[in-house]
Amino acid sequence: MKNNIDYIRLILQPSYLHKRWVVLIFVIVNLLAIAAGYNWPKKYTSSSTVYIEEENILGPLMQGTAVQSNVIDRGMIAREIIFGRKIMQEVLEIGGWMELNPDPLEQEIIIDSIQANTIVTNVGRNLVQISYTNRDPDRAFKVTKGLVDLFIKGSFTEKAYESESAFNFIDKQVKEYEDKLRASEEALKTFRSQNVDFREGAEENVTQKISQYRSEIDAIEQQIREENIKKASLQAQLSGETETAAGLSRAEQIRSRIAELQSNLNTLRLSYHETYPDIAQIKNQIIELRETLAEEEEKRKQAKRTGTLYLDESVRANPVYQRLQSDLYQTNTLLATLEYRLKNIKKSLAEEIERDKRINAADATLKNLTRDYNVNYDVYQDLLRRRENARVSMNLDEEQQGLNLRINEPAYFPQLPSGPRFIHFVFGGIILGIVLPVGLFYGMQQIMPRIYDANDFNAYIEIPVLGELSTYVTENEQVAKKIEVYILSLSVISVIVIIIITSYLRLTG
Amino acid sequence: MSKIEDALKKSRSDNSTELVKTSSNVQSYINSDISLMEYDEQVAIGVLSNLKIIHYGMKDQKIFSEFRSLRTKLIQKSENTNLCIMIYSSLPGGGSSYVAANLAAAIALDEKKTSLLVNCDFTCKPDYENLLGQYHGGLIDFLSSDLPVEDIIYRSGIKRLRIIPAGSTNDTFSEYFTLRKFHELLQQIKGRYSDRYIILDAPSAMNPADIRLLSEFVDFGVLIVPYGKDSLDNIDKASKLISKEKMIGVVINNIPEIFAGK
Repeated sequence: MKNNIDYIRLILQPSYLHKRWVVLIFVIVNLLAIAAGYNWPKKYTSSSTVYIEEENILGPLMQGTAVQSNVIDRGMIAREIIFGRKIMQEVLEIGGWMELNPDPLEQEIIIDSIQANTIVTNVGRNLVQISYTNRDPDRAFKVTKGLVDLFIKGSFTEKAYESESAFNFIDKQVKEYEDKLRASEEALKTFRSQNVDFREGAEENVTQKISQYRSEIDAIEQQIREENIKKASLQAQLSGETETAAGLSRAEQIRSRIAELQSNLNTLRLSYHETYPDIAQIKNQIIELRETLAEEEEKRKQAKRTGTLYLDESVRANPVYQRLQSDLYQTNTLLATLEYRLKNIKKSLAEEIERDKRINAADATLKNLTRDYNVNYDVYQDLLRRRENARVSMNLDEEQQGLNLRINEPAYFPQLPSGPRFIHFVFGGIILGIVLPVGLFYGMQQIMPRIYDANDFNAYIEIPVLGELSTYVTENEQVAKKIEVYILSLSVISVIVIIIITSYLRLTG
Repeated sequence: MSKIEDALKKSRSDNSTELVKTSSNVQSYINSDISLMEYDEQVAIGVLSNLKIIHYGMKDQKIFSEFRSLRTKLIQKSENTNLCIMIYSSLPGGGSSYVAANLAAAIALDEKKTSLLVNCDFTCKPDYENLLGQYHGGLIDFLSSDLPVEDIIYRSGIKRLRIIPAGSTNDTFSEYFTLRKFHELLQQIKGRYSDRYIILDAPSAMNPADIRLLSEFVDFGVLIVPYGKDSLDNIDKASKLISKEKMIGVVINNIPEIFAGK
C-alpha cells in the first residue's frame, strides 16, 4: 500500500511541478491526434477467398499412375502467381491505371504499391484469402476480383504448363535413352562381328582343348621316351649279332641228299637185287644229283673267275639280326612320327593359348558392352513407363481435372473503410496525452532521480534534513497562480470540446 | 519587481525622515547595545510580504513556524553564540537568498539576538536588498576600497537585522574571498555584538571555488535543495563541497502547499 502511494507521489509530484508541460503535451498530442485522424486516408479493403482442393476425384483412381503435382504452401504459391509480371500487368488494366498511360517506371511504382497493398494468406487448409486495399472502394473491389480471377486462370495454366514441361522432359529423356540403347546394341553387334571365333562357351571349348593337347603331349612325350629306350636297347642287341648266318650251301645239300640216297640204296641192296625198281630209281636219282652238284660247282668256279657274286644259297641272313634290324627300323619310324605329332600338337596348343587370351580380352569388353546395354535397357523401360504416366497427368491438367480451384467467397464491394478510424485516434490521443508526460516523469525519476522530500533525500544521501520549507506565495503570486490554473484548465477543457465537436462532425458527416 | 519597488517607495515616503536619520546615524548604532537596535523602525508589513520575508502576524503561519523551527535547530547546534552560517543552494535560483533572509529574520525575532545578513552572491541582486535605504557601497566596495565597515552595514527596517549588500558588481568576484580583509571583516562583525548571528548568502554550488573559500570562514554550511528541480548527482556533489563537520544539513525549499507536510 505504501509502495502504491509512493508510486503515485512519484508521478504526481513532478506532474504538479511541471503542470504546464503536462497540459502542453496533453494539448499538443490531442490536437495532433485529431489532425492525424482527420487526415488519415480512408482505405477500403476488399477480399475474396479461393478454395483449392488438394485431392480430386481422379486422384485416387489414378493412384500410382499419374504423378500429381503437390501444392503445399498454397498461400505462397498463390502469391508467386499473383505477383507475377503477367497478372500485374493485367491488373493495371483492370484497376484503370493504364488510362493515364504511365511510363514503365511509373508502372513499376504502381505495381509495387499494388503488391504492398495485397495480402495473400492461408486462412484454412484449403483456403487462400486474397485482399487488396485502396483508397477507392471501387478500385479495391475491381482489383480484388481481377486478382482472384487471374489467379485461378493462372493456376490452371501454370499447372498445365508444369505437367507439359514434365512430360516434355521425360520424353526428351526417353529419346536420349533410346539413342543410347541403340548405340549399345550397335556396339555389341560390331563386337560380335569382329570376334567371330568368340561364341558362347568358346572359352570352355578352348580350355578343354588346351587340356586335351596338354595330356596328349604328355602321352606322346612318354611314348617317345619309351621308344628311345627301346631304340637304345635294340641298337645294343644289334651290335651283338652277326649280320649273316652260315647256312648249308646248295652243293652241300645235294651231297647230303646223295649220301642219304646212297645209304638208302645200300639198305635196299641188302634185300633187293640190283634190278629192283627202287634201287634203280635211287641210282638214277643219285646220278641226277651228282650231275646237279657238278653243275653247281662249275657255276661257282665260273663266278669266282668272273668276279660276279654268285648267290650262294647256302649263305643266308641271320634271322635274329634281321628281326632286330626290322624292329629298330620300326622304332625309328615310330619315333619320327611321334616327334612330328608332338611338334604339331605343341603348335596347336600355342595357338589355343593365344586364342584363350584373345577370348578373355573379348570377354571383358563383351561384359562391359552387355552391362551398358542392360542399364540402358532398364532405364529406357522405366522412362517409357514414366512417360506414359506423365502423358496421363498432362492430359488431366489439360482438361483441368488435376486441380480444383473455385471462389469460396467472391470479392465484395467495401462499404466501410478499413484501418484505424477517427475514434481510435481520439482515444489514442487522450491516452497518449496522459501517459506520455507521466511516463516521461517516471522515466526521468528512474534515470535521474529528483529530490522531492526528506525521505527521498535520505534514501540516497546521509545528511540530516534540517527543514522542509513550503512555497512562500505572495498575494500577487496567488492571483497569478489562480490565473495559471484557469488557463491550464481552460486549455484542457477546450481540447476536450474540440475532441467532442470533431468526433460529432466526423460521425454525422 | 516593479510592484515591490512601488511598495518600497511608498514605505520610504512614509518614513523618509527616519530613513535619512538612520543612515546618517550609522555611527551611533555601531557601538550601541542590542537594546538600542530595538528602536529600529519597522518596514510596512506589505513590503515584507512582497519580499517574501517572514514577520509576526503574517498570513501563512506554516511558513513562519517552519523558519522558526529551522532557526531553533541551527541555534541548538551551536554553543557558540556568535554563529556564522553559510547558506548556498545546489542550483542557481535554488532559493538561498530567500532562505538566508528569512533565517536572519527568524533569528532577529528573538529580542536577545541580532543577525547580520551578508550577501556574498554577486551574480544577482536578491529581493532583500530592496530593504536597504540609501545605498552607499557594499561588500565589494569595502573590499576594494578604503570604505569604513560602518558604511556597508545597512539597517533593514526589521528589528535586530542588519544587511551587508554585495555592492557594485564586478566580474572577478572570486578573488575577494581570498583577501585578508574579508576575513578580518568577518572577525570584526562577529565580535561586534554578543549573540550576533552572521548569515552568508553564498552563491550556488555552480561556483564550487566560492563555496570552498567561504566555507573556510564559517561555522556551518546549509545546503538548499530546490524541490524537484535538481538531480541527485548534483545535490550529492554540492553537499561534498564543504567538509563534513561544517555540513550541518540540507533544507528542501519550495515545496508546493499540497505536498507540504506529507
